[in-house]
Amino acid sequence: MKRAVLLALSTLLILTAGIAFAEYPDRPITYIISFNPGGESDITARLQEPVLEKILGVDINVTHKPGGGGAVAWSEFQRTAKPDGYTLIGNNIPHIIGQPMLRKDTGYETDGFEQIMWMHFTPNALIVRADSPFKTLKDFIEYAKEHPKVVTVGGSGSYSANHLETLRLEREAGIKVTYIPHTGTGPLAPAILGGHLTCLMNYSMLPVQLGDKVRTLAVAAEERVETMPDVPTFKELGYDIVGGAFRGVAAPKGTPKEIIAKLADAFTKTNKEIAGKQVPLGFVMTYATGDDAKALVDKMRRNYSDVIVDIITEREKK
Amino acid sequence: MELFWKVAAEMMDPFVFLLILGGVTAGLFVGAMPGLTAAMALAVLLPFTFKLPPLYGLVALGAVYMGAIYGGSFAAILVNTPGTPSSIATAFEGYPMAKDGRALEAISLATVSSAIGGLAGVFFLLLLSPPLARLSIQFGSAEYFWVAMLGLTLIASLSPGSTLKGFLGGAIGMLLAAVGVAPIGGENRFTFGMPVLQGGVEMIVALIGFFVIPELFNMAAHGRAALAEVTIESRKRGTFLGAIRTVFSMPGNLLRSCVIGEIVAIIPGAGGSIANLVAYNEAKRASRHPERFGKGAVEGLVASESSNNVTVAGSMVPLLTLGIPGAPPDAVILGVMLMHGLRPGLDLFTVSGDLTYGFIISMGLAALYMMPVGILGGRLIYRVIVKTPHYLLVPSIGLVTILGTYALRNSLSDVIIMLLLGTTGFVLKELEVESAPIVLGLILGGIAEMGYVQTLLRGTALEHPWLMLFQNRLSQIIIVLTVLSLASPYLSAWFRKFRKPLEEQLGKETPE
Amino acid sequence: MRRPANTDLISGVIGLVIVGVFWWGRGEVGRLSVMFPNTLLILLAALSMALLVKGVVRPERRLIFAEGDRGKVIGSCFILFAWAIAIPYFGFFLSSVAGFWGMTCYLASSRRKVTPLLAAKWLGVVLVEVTFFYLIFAKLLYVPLPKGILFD
Repeated sequence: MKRAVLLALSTLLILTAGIAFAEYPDRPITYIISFNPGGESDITARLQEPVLEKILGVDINVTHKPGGGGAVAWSEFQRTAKPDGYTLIGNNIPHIIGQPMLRKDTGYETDGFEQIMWMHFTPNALIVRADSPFKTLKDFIEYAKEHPKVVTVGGSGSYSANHLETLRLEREAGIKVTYIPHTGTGPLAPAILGGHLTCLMNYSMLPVQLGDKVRTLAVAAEERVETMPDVPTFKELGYDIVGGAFRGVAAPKGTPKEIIAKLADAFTKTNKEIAGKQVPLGFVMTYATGDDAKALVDKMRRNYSDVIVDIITEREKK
Repeated sequence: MELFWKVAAEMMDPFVFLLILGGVTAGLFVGAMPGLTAAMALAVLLPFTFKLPPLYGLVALGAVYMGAIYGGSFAAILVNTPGTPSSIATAFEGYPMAKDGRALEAISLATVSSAIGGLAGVFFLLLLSPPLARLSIQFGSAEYFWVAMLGLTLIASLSPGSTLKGFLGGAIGMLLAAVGVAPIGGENRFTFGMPVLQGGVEMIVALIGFFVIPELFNMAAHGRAALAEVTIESRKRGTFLGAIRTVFSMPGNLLRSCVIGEIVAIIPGAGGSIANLVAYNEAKRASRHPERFGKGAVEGLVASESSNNVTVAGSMVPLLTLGIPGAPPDAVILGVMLMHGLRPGLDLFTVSGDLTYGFIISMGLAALYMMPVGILGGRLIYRVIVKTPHYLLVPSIGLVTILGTYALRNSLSDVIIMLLLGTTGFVLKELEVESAPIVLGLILGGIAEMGYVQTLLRGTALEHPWLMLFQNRLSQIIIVLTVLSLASPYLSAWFRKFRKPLEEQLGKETPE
Repeated sequence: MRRPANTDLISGVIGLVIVGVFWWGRGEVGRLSVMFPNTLLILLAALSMALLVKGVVRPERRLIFAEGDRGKVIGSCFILFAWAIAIPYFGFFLSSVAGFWGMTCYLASSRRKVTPLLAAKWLGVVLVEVTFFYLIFAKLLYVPLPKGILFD
């Protein structure tokens, strides 16, 4: 009798051990996109999906949970997602930096994610209509200096990448412009083409979409962007402005290190493979995983901190 | 032009035929279910289209879109719940017709009107794209604000009882639109400390809540659905030919509704949901018997269903020429195009011409194929609904709406919000505060706010920023239209007072 | 309500209540975010007060909640909320079967006696219908329906 029990117990032990060390992943993974279908985050996920499925060997279920510029999905994720590696979420800088600092009750924290990777970024770009009198950034800044607040800059969202970059430009160049937020990138195209705004501070994808109807004065990247080789970077022109929307993927805090490492590896391989499709659309690939990923968040936090502190002080004044 | 005919011939391929037919049918069912919308259907279809070659992917999307906008009329007519926001006005006339035993007639009319609207949209797209595209970018923030104001004047006509209560509803709707992240300023408003409210009240959630739930409660209270068996005369008028005859007997209404649909379609961001209400209102204003509206006026139904289908192809004008989505589902189509490397603009019509023309023609074919699918499907759905006892129908609709509301943003809180709004809507209806003004306020509130604040910001450099609102020629035109729209019920009543004695003087008989 | 109610008065009151609730929930927001809602709240307050005035001077009276079986309305409302609230705990499938079946039996009970045989027959119909939609949404459309204790 005792031997039977011992046998049963040891079998049970081995089985449970076996289950615990079962190969990750062994069931479908849910990949949450915190924005609407058809947008940049969605397109990225769709491009990644087949490659990830090949590498990891399981289905990837892309689902959408839009709302509040991503905040609804991120707050629910940090609250409810299980750290078992089967629920992932796409996130964005500077959204996850700006929102908790500038909004009450966002429901999540900047550092509350276990970041797997930052996959690419779409740098901010200063765009004018093709027939605009501004041919270079210098023209633009000179005009803005002489006519404070007359220049209208359109961008996507409030206190978003576009907005914060505009504020940084104001600081660096010593100019005052009027930023006009729009709901997403969509409404910006008719606004600039119809001549309702002086210029746009939006992502590098828009000039690709609009072609020769617009001219890009400068781009906020470290080096010139492949899709616009004639456009100088802000850095070249003397303004230390590098920024845009970074897109990444994260797991809940507490997810085991081995799983994160495996996912980081899979996403890195995926990134390389889809670079061919994304770069022509205006994306700049980054490959920041692990500690690099954390460092990136800290760096961007520092970059925007002056501007954010300004905003908060302005608000307290009222 | 030869490219066009070449592609047209290619589109007669049997696989394409089946693809469009399938797409239209699928779209029809999605549209008919309250809670599922065209944009949703396209979003779901997106991954499947990647496996298809680009042309077939776009054809499938176009067919589903066309079918869905048409399908919304079924739910509107049979159960007084617009299947998609593009059929809100269809319910106003379609449902009373159904209650009168004229359900099949209503369905046939909706089918024919939708088909004609769809074809009109394709026609506008093919022939008038360049000037329409130029018009579309004339709409700036001030124009959006005034268009929203114009839309709000519809409230007066949507509140048959008390205009005051109508505006109360409209204001409540606009307030609901303000819940969530402020579009300007980015801070959370009215979220009462709940992060989930940052997403605000989604329009479809409110639409289902305010239109479907009260109807469910009504059915529960009465112990039966309100559908009546179809009468013999209505059966005659409800045939396909009968419907064609009726629709073509009102060419003015048809033409006007299609034009309205096209203009609304090219305004980036505005689609069928606004078009059907504006067209309905105009039909009512132009009618000799406006008092018939709300009780089964055929003109209202035709206006609503034709204008909303125009927006399918119509909203492609800014999309294909400028890369600007003219209506929400277009964003999905744009995504697909970009992914396949198709860039909007002149290239689309020359280099990728066969793809583009194929896509456009497929939408026209979808409009045509809708007719047999609709006539047959309509009868089928009608028979099913009539035979279903209310104690199965009510929870069935409940199931679909809960599913649909959840599927919208994968959010259970949306379902709860939907039920809360629905219960409130039911109570308000009893107090004669109708649901349509509330939903209209919700749709337009966001647009009005964006337009207003953006225009004021644009005018920061001026001494009186609000003057920007009146600066453009287009704004001024829309302002005049708004004033006319507001004044028209009073004007026409006054006019009618003088017309009667005038006609009696001239010995004419007043038309009956 | 046996007596016709003054709908103007009641709507006006409800309007003011809404204004109050939203006013309280305004939160600290900057000028840009709040300018439009403020205008709306003022407008709503004005309309509500106009209705209150009308309710006193020239009231519109109507028998509210008069049509049909009011109890069924309250019951259905309750069942729908219970159904939705049960979903995160019991999963979509079970909650829907329970909610659907419960509502069917409840609504049918006003017209005819609900025998166990009838209830069982309906349960069959409910199972088929819920399974059908569940399959379409969860499997075909990949909508992640909430999973509950037992299973979806």
